[in-house]
Amino acid sequence: MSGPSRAAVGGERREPTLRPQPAGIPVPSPSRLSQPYWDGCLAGELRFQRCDVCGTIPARPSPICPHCHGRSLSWERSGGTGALYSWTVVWRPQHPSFRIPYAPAIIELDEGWFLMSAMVGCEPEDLDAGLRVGVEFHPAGEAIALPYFHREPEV
Amino acid sequence: MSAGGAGIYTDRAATAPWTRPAHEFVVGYGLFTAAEFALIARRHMLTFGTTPEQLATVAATIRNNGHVNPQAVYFGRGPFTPDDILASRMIADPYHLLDCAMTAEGGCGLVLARADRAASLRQQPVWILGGGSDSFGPSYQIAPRWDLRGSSADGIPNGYVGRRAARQAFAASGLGPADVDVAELYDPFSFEIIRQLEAYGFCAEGEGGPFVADGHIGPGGSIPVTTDGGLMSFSHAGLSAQLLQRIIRGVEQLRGNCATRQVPGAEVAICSNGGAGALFTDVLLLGRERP
Repeated sequence: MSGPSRAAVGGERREPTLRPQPAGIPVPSPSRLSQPYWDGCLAGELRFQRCDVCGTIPARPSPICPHCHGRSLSWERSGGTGALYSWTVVWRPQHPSFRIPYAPAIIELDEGWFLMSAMVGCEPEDLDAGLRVGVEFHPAGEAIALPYFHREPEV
Repeated sequence: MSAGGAGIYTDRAATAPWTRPAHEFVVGYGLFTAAEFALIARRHMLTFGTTPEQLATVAATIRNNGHVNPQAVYFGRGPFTPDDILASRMIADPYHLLDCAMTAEGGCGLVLARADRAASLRQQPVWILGGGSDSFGPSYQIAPRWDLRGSSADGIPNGYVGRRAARQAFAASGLGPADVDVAELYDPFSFEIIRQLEAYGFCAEGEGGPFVADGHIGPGGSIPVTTDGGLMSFSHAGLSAQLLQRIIRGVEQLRGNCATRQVPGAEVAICSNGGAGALFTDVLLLGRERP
């Protein structure tokens, strides 16, 4: 590409390649069980369920604990930080509404549970195992916000 | 029993409908089967240093089986080298286009008979020696983790889904991996072959990459794999036909009826479906001799 790079002109910073998706993508349909999770996302809170009896965190919202079968589970607020467990960089959009590339990622949250999400705010080559990450939320449609994850600065 | 997928899908702006899960926890992230399975492969590459070249060796081997098979959708479309696989466009890293199964239409039929009836039938019977089903949860709803573990105490992770089914099949038959002559393994994506070789005990954990690089899975190798070209180049006849297509090829191998890539004197075949990206795998062991 000829001419000065965008980074050089006026000291502007380039937009990162990996970014949240614009409105128009297929959006989740909350269920009665998952509504607290999606309400949290709208409020900028990442929430997860934990069994009040044995402390197990179910893999997805559940009316009973998968470990002890107790029927008392509570929603907690996550600190929103964790580590990058696995990822892929997608170059063939699942649906034309998705801007490529995008990076679906499995995040291990510090509380010890896992979430399917996507990495944003960086380049594909920045992704590495164990990267410290933090949550951010973006609207995906009417009354739905999606959690995404960015790199956290090393402490 | 018969199975097939008769729909024709030509809208290429999106991936084929059956590859796109719509569950609330994955739908907003543009996941489809190639991405779900890529998340599994990535963990193995991080843990054991498995390389894109080793994945490409699997894809080239299986696609070359289809290239020489007149019944295959991709008959004549090769031959392929691992470099050809790596040069094809990236779909969901690490999976290039040619690391992935095709979409196609087709069908298959299988006739099962009781042992006492089988002797009087025209075709040489092939015997079911054992099998099993293995699952870590519903497909395409939660993050497809390698390390996902079920509630059982055996400690086997989703990354090795199918291991329990294979062990059950081997235990029922009194056989082991060394007794298997041909492996008709489900090949939705190249790494899934490496994964299954380790899961079922054909090689040690983490050794699947070097194992395929050493030529074990090709014609004349110690364990020829997916000899008709599989999902990558023979056909993908849809969800319900997954295991049946592999069984049919296994039966043809054990009858000595394969026009291409016949494994000489094959007596035991292993067949599979599913995969760790989908959280399930079924395994069936077939034999030429009645157990």
